[in-house]
Amino acid sequence: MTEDRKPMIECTGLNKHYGDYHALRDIDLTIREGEFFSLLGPSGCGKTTLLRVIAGFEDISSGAVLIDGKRMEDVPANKRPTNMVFQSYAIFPHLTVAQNVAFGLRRDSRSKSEKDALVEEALQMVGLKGYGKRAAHALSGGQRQRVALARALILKPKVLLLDEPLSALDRKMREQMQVELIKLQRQVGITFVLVTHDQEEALVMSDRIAVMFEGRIAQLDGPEALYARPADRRVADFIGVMNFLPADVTGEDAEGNVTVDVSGLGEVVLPPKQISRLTSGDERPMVGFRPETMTLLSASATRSQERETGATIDEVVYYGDMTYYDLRLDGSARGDGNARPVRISMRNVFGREVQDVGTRTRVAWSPGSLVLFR
Amino acid sequence: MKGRMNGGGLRAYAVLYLLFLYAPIILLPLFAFNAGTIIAFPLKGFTTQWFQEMWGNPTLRRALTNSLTIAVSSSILATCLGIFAARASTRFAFPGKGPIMGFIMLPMVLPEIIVAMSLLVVLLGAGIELSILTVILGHVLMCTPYAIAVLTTAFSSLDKSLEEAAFDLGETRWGAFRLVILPLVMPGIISALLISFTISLDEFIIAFFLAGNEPTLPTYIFSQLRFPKAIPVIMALGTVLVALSIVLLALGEYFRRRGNARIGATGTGGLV
Amino acid sequence: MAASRRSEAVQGATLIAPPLLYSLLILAAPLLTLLFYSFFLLKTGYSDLEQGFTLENYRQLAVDPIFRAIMVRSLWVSGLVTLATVLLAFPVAYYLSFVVRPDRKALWLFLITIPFWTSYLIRVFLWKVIMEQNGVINSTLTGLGIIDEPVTMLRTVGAIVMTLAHAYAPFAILPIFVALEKIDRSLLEAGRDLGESRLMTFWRVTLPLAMPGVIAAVLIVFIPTVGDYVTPELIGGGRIPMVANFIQVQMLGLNNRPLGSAMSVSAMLAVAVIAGIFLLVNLRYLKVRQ
Repeated sequence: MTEDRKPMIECTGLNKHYGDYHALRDIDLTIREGEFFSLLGPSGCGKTTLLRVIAGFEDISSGAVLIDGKRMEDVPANKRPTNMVFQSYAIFPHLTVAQNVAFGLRRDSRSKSEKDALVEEALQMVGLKGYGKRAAHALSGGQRQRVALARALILKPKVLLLDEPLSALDRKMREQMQVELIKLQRQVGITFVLVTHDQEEALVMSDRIAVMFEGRIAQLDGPEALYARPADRRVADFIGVMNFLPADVTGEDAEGNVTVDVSGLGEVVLPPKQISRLTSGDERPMVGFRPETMTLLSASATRSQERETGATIDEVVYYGDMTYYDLRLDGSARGDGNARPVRISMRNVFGREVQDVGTRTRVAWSPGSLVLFR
Repeated sequence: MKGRMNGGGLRAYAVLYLLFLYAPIILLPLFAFNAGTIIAFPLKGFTTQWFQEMWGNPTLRRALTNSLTIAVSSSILATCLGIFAARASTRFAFPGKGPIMGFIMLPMVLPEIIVAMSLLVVLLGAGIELSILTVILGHVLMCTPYAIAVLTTAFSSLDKSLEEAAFDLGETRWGAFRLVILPLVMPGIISALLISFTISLDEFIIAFFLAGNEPTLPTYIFSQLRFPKAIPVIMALGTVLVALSIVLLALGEYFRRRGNARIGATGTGGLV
Repeated sequence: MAASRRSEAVQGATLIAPPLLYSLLILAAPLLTLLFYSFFLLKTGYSDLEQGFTLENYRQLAVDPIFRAIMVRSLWVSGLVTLATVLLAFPVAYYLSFVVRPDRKALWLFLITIPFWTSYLIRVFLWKVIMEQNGVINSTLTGLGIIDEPVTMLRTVGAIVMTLAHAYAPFAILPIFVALEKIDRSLLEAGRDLGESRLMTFWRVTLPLAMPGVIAAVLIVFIPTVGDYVTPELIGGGRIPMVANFIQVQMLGLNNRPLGSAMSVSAMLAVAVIAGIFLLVNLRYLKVRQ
């Protein structure tokens, strides 16, 4: 893991105001050397501002940014050991591919032939070998992206900053580039900081992810922890799908284990690691679970740690590889007349039939996959 | 979507309208090469006499030199001022931006006579002698808004991140401007130069009141209109001027489009 | 480029400084001088005397029936020109925007703008040649035996209106065209879909949405034509002077700069007031965000 590596980017007490608008609030963040780090959040959450602060395009109102141990306040963007891949790629349209890639080498003292070799090497690295002479404005979106990568990486930056680099690509291309970016990052070994609003993209690519809302970091964790143990209700909502059931806390012991009565699931005891925060505006504690953590019992055998609940299939949504079922849990209606159905997902493996709407069924679930928000 | 039913009628109207627009201009070459001295039908036969007379006229040559000097200086100065203004208005937010830009663009709608008269009053009051220099002062003022209009389009079609990318890749701010911005807006700059040149070359009012005793092409034309015998030569001169304007504009349009093609942009939009 | 708002404002201000200074020096200072002349100087004998603040120049204008007539005529002629130009231009703009194929639009626009870029003086002169007693139209008509006596066309308001309408045509077409281009075509389909006839859709959807362009066209044509000098001089033959000619006569011919200045200021004021009222009346069309 990257835990023991030295810090590459350190932000402490970072604040950024635009007039009355508070774009970044008390950001404390350490990104380590060689890490693939993502800033994830909805638009307007401050993730791009934070990236541009690191790049040197925005100054800060208070706090400090250190890159590789050096304070960056007075270092302009053109002197920082960072390079950026812009959302629009910002490929210079009047230059060829090779001229674009060589752009940052202009002030370098190396000979022409050495530079040419570096350009060729960089193009090869991004899979554009032989494209050097092409006009940049004639390239496809994916190719522009690669040129932008080669242009930034040729300067051997300590940090590569990527501002929504895949958002302009179609779905297939995006998935392909995700894999390529991961490979590229392993190959060059430098720190990548990615800004994205696509939670799936962040989960697929990152070592660690900072989820941001309204200028604050709401949670900073690895993808698995983020998915399985969202720190609060908003993070849970933003990352993947989560079902929420109203719950009443009925007891709490000295170790912090909490007993809750969950609508539709009954009473469970949850250890502290399965307890997260609510977000302001929620009145009642909630228990959440992911769709794949509940199983239709007609389809698989019961295991010992699992519990069972009766349910009725309310809606069936067929996705080819998966089927989503909206279920009405028995007993979920008590006290909550209009309780929403919960959504579970089942892989369509061979021999498993898709169930019909209205079917009475039983579902299995495990208390270990529940998260209490209180 | 299209009104196919009334498309035909509209089309006929539009063609008639174009004829109306071009009718006077078509007369120019017709009578410039016409052997008769009166501008009336029927035509009398082909001659190049008027062009020869035009070329042999010393006052006209002087007017031509003056006009070219004024147009070249005015277009360069107006384009330089235009670059500053267009860059400022497309890239930066500064207090009072709207009113300031509106004020600079004002000569586009202000009656020329008022611009000319107020400037004349000041120049005379300050004891400055009228010359082609004072005409240039006025023409720069008239041409700058048009240069700004053309250049603003060129500057605003630039992605701001291109400049940031150049800066991010280690260039200085000036380097980013010189290596990225300038080449990309160059077609716009050429276009602005050509348009300013054309406006200055054809401008009459300011030249008429601010040139003192120096003739320019339009003021020379105006002075000759009283003499019926001079009309055919004026027709010849007009033909040359209009031909020149059209060539310059076509060039300007060509550069503007090439600029668009170069950065992969599409879109119509005219010179105004 | 670690640009805070403040440094951005400073950079912007630095960049705008040269063109702004130029305009202040060559445009604002002279206009203020006119204002000063009109309020503080009086023509007495052969020189302009400083009087302290006075409204005498404006009083002279107000009581002078000739000036009033010229002012009213200028505004009236400009109004006619504007009406004719915009009415004639609208169908062309509509044709350009709705009927012409997208790849042909640039060519049409280019064709329409070219005459505008040729010398204004020459175009006005050409109209004179066309409309003269022994000019193109009369010689053609008499030659064909359609008329016996040449028709007088020059020195009429109609001739001035037509010449100016010709000169300002592109000014009217372009803003209307731009406004029409901005209209979301699905709005028109929606209008038709909701049961309106083609004509009513035009009346209730297209026209209101095109109004910002029409308003711009009206102002762009009206404001400069009030101050036009060449057309009344050449086409009107000096018989139908407008404010510009009168200002010129006062300023240079009679050497009465205070009065000429007061006329310039009055003319600008009149135009500004009319433009302001026109904008106010049409405010509701400008508030619509498309």
